[in-house]
Amino acid sequence: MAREDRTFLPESFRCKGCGKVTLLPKKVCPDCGSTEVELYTSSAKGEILNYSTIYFPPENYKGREPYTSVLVRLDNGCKVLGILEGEIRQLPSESKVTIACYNKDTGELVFSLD
Amino acid sequence: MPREVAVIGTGMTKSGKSQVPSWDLFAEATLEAVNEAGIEVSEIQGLHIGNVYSAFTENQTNISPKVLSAIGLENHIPCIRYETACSSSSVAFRQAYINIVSGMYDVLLVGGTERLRAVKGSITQQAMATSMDGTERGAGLTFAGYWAFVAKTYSRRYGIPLDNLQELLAKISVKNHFHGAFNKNAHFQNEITLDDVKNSVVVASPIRLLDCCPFSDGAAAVILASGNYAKRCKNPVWIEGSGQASGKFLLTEHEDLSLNPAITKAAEDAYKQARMGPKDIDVSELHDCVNIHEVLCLEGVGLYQKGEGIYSAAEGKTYFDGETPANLSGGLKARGHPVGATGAYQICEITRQLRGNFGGKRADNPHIGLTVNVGGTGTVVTVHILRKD
Repeated sequence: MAREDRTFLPESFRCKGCGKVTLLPKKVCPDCGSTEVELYTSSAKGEILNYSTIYFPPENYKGREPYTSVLVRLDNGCKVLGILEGEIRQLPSESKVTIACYNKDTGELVFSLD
Repeated sequence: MPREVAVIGTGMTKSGKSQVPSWDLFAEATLEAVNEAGIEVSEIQGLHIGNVYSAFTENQTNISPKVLSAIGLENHIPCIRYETACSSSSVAFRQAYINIVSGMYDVLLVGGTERLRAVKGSITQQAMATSMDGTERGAGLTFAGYWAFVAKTYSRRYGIPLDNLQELLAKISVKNHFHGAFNKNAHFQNEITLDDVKNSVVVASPIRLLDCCPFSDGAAAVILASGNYAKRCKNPVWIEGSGQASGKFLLTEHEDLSLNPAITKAAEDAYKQARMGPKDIDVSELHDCVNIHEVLCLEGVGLYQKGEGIYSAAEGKTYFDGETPANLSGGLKARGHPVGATGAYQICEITRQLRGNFGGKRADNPHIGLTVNVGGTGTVVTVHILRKD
């Protein structure tokens, strides 16, 4: 899979007024009040800010537990949630990751450790 | 001066597992509240009720007139249902309060009802999951996972190793079960030990099963009345402050998960109305859906400085005989969490603490009580301050 291909990345949105980047679009920027929000260049890479191993998954992840839920700051500044592929392990802080797979329909976002 | 408003009656069913539909549960709680208030059902001028999941778990929408029908209160009074996840019934309470402050009504029936355990656990879990953002749910987040991120952020921010944090959190669960053991309406009326918590299964690391509350069936009802009306009743409990604020909907948009500014804002508004501060609070009921959230509530309303709430139970301060008694009902952990009714349980419990008729451990002659009820992942927060007559 072409990992740098935009079609495989989640969209991000950026406020033209103050530069705030969010995963979901907003009509008004909560930080500066600007109504100019643009689709923003996405990033395939980022770093893990926080993580937790999920043993009791939601219905749509049944059978995949345990898995590691990760909070990642992408290189474009957008914070996203996803899961980390591979075995459960202790992760050093600020581990670098790359998007391995993104399903726009379900919102599933899988990262692999660099 | 805004118009005075008081709680004049309270009623609660036992929280736990019910064979009875949510509307009949609420009717049962209503009769207890009406009896306690010493009024006739026919004096009620409107119904404001919280309920979240009946569409999923009981295949029933339009629940507010269904509740009127179950009570037999069919004299054309208005009714409305509120849904803000776990804070639904305290939001209903607040809106009823504002209705009476406006001068349009004098006596309202308020509360919440929920039935979660009558259906398969998977249905309840799917229903509960809809209260968080669909995008984040799609990315594999669970409620326990959310509180795991909060606990880890707290651990990092205050330099408390995770092992120590888990131990301190376990002491909150032990404390809440201790109080729950004395509350005849609690879902769990048993004490637990630190080892019970430590040995319980991990749900979302570092959160274990006994760090979390159960989901419960239950209903709680309150009779609210205007000042002139309430003065004719025995032991009215006055509403001194009512604050409500909204937090970030998405986990990814929180700047610091160890704080919830919405709790602080709702508390500031309530304190300002009451012309009081944290030092005036004698007893509180807090939203401990997971024990780390009791800490965020204690710190958010200013009962503890940031980074200090975590030690409250370990130092005995939040026990019934401590400096800041909290969750003497057992909290969500032991009283249980009938989601759309939880906020109304808190109001009933604080009212009874102040009146001295709470059926469990009581604070030492409290005059002022506070509730914190939080919907979803910190998204809709209410803070109420009540005063003994």
